[in-house]
Amino acid sequence: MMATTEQPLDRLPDELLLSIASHLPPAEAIAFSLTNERHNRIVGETLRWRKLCLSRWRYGLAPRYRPNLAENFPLEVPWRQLVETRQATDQKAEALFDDLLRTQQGRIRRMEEVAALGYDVKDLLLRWQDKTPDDADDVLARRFYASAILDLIHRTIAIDIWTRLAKDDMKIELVDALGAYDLFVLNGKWGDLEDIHEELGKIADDVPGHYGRKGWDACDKKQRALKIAEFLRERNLLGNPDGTAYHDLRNNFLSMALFAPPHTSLPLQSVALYCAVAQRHDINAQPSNYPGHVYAVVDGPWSSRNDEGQLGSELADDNPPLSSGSAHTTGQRMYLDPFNSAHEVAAIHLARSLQDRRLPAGQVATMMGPTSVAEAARRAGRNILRSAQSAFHEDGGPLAYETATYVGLWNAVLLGDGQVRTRENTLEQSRLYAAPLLERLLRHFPQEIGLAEKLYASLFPHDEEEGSSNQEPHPMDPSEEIAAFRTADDQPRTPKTRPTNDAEGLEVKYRVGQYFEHRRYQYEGIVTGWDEICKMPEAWIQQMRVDDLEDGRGQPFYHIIDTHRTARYVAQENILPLTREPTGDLITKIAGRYFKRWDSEACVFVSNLKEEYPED
Amino acid sequence: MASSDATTIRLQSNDNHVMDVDKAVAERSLLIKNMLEDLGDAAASETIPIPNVSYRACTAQGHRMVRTPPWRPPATNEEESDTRKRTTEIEEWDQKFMQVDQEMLFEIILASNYLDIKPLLDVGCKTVANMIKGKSPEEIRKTFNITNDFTPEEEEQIRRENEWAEDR
Repeated sequence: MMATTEQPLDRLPDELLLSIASHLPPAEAIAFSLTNERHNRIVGETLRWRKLCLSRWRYGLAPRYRPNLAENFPLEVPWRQLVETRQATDQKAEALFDDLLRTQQGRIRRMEEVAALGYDVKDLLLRWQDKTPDDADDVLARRFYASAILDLIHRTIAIDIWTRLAKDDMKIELVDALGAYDLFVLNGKWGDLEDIHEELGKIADDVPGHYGRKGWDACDKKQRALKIAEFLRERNLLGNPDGTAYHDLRNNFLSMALFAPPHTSLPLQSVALYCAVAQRHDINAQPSNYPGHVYAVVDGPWSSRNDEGQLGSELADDNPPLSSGSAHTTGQRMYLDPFNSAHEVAAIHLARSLQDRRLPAGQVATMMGPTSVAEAARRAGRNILRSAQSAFHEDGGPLAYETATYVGLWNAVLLGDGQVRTRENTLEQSRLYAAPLLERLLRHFPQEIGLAEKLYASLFPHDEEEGSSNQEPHPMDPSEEIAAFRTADDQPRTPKTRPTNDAEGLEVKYRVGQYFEHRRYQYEGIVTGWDEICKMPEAWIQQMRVDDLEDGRGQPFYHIIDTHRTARYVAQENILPLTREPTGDLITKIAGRYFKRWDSEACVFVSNLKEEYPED
Repeated sequence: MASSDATTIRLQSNDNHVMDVDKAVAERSLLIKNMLEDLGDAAASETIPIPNVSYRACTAQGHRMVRTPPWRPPATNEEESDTRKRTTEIEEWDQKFMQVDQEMLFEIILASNYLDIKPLLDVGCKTVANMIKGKSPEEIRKTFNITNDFTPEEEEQIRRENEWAEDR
């Protein structure tokens, strides 16, 4: 064979070949890698690492690495290294997770350690939560703890957003401040902040195409602002045609409005979605501060061709458009009601209605203006607490009610109620919410204790300098309770062996994991522990009239968890064993904390509390 | 061509050609810039060797490379403020500049890599990438005179592996 003529690419070192290929879309990078052995070695291998990475992990990768976004430059990322780092993180999380399933000791500490890995372990946790097979030995525990850690990760982000907002961080976007509520109730489902932002971006990209690129380009900003409202309403993403379900819990959440049919929402969420899409088209839209209903306040100048200085001088917040309709005709500010319609609302009507209430002019001006992100978040918090009350009886059931109340309390503690107060007053106000918050946290989400620790450290500062003069702890300071809880988590459990048959007293009939109905009150529950006799303090025994029971205080008593996730203490004679399969929240959201799985032959839950009750 | 002006420096290519270059222009190369800093005042009188770069890469088409962007003097503040406009300008200019034969193109890429002129290197790589876009492996081989050194079996296997690597 004749010597080949020169191959110019052979003169380039490996890293230059890779730079060239990094300017190619994936399909063409592959074509290039197929041309010869060297190109395959350099480019093909990197591509395969990339593919491996993207097929394994969705979360914790910068958005631009995502498969649908990384159309160009797929090679500039050190994919192989990325895969190796992520693999190591997964292994670390797996080891921690196995340990926390295996032993009660330090369980919460381990959950926190997994959660500290953040979005890098979200894929793994989702897999455990959703893909653990039904016949796995510890199916309930695995799903439960994965889901609880996901909650912890999401809630840590939400609390961080609100904490920054409380410190007047102007960089917090409205969507994040409101989407933080979604993070609280997400429970490992679709619709976190990344999903919401990505979806809003896609929607915003669709608008110009819908009206034709040319038509869109010919519109000024005001026309575009109106068209966006029309577009979103046509897509059914705004408003709530079925007014009767107005206060449904779901209407409080952006992710529900975006992703879950029938896409209904409250006015604030509708307006927030509208503003987010409008802002992506450079339109200055914000929710209003108006009492009773939320409008979108859209500010000009409308045309970029106009002299901005001239228009800007008329754009004055302290001079609201009260006296005439000139505001919307000269085009400084326009009001929209995207919750109800795609049309402009005349400023004059809004202003008159405020004037009719004889409000002072200054207050009217504020109400006609846009609201702050923090105020919008507070408003959302109040709405959620209100919806929570109806949720107790309706859509969500008791656990949804508890979660909604929990998130409402967090919001109230962190952002306050919006009244202007001195610093000390604000602190006192927040402290009022602290006790009910901690009570709910310990009952429902004890793994979130670390979030409480941080919060209480700021609410009840232990000031070193003033230490000598101010030793008395604040009466509401729960730091001792929290510390005791920590210690209990870290300690080994004391094993409790079952009494022998010839022991005195009544036989302890039931074991940890017994599914039962309360003989008198008919609620369902599961046994999570027992005492040979009633071990509660005298006052409790008196109050509950234990001595009136047939077998009195000398009979075995059981720690149980009920369908409201309330821990109770029940006398043996009131336990009525059930043999049917448990359903609902009990099996999906409650049992996993204590049990490995449901044994349908023995009709009991298989205990995961072996250190405390080794024989049960 | 020779000049003793303090604002020019003297470079020597690997094929022993000596040329005088505007100092501000030459400093677009981080390699030369660092070298000048190390040499200090001596730089004005010394001839600086650039052993990996041929005279041809610097002159001929390279003549423009030396005299015109991206080896041009730093932008004034006014220009800097209108970044967007400037970028497109460069791109148009780049395209023309890179209309050279392949050998010259690779020569420029190697030179800008060696001299550490990032913007020029980027333009070079993009130009090669553009020559690959829209082509099948066989067409790419033809364009760059690449010898296919796979056995048919190997090629088939790699093709299969890469089906897997292709995006969904």
